[in-house]
Amino acid sequence: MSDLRFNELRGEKVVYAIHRQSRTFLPTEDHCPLCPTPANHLAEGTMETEIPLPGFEIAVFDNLYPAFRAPQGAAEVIVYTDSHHGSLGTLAPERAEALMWVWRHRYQELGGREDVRYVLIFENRGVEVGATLHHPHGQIYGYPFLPPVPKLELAADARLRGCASCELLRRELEDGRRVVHENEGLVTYIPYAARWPYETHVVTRQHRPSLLACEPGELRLLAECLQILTRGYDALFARPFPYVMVVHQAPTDGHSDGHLHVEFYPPLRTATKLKYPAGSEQGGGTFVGDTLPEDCATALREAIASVA
Amino acid sequence: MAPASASPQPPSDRSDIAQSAEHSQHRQAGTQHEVYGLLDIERHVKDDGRGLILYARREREHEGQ
Repeated sequence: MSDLRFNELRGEKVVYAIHRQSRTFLPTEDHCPLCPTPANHLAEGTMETEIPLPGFEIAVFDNLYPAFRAPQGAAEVIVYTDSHHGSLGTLAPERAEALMWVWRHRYQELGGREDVRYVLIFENRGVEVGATLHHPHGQIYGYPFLPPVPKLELAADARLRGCASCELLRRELEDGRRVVHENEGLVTYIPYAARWPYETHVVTRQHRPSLLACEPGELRLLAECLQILTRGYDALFARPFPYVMVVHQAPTDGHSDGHLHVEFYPPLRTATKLKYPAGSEQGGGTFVGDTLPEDCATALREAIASVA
Repeated sequence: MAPASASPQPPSDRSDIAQSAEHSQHRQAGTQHEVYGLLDIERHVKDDGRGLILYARREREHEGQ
């Protein structure tokens, strides 16, 4: 069981899950725990992976090394495909759309649990952001408390006297310089005050508190946006583009509002240089940017167009 | 891994989140199957007790709902 402590100086909770120290670390493909189990291994009962089947489409299972688990939250792994290679951007469009429904299902089911106050769906892509498995996958944490970032979003709603995401989307569309892609259902932009050079927010045009409020067509459009964006990211520096991707939705406390959007925090500032959260960022809590969001948006827009 | 024999989740009083018209369940040959939107869902319990859910895409019969 994880140890949950409160950091008085920062006013935030810290989770200690020391069993995670021994988790699988960058295994080779033939030892990947997220690949299907070969038929001969199934027959012999040896070398089973996390998915003891010769093939599958999308699989979700309880994390072997959970940061949270019942009755104090949840931690799950979502495997996008049984292929070891590829990424969210290279999935077949139908698979990417199905993945949106899986996200929706997990949000609904985990959010219905009494011990889950916030459902965070995310993906860490690349060793630069701490991914320990190469196989295309994401994770879900069901927090037994409301974490600080969604709390800040609720505070922004109060400060702007309405939905902050709706207002910020209105401003971005009015300005236009930071919008990198849009379709009938969603808009992707680099925020006016982005912390990371190529940070993007993929935001529903309509106020949708969560995936549960989306029409089926919107889920398909969301998948399309995410795939176009991640392929554009890969084209930007002609290399697999590392990122942290997080799905922001309403808390599952039964009364708080939210606005569905997906945020990407990529650490690269050039093809070979990382933006580190260093002295000012960690010690002062203030990000110092080396690039302007408008310039990064121009470059990203061109990269997206080059692979469209 | 063994077929799931228990309900997938404890009941919740948060009916707005936990229930939806798109969600139906049935059991067949000891395995729990569900339909959710465009997904077929099959639940299992791994040998160590952890849950495993397999999702497969259905035909696009939900379109137009």
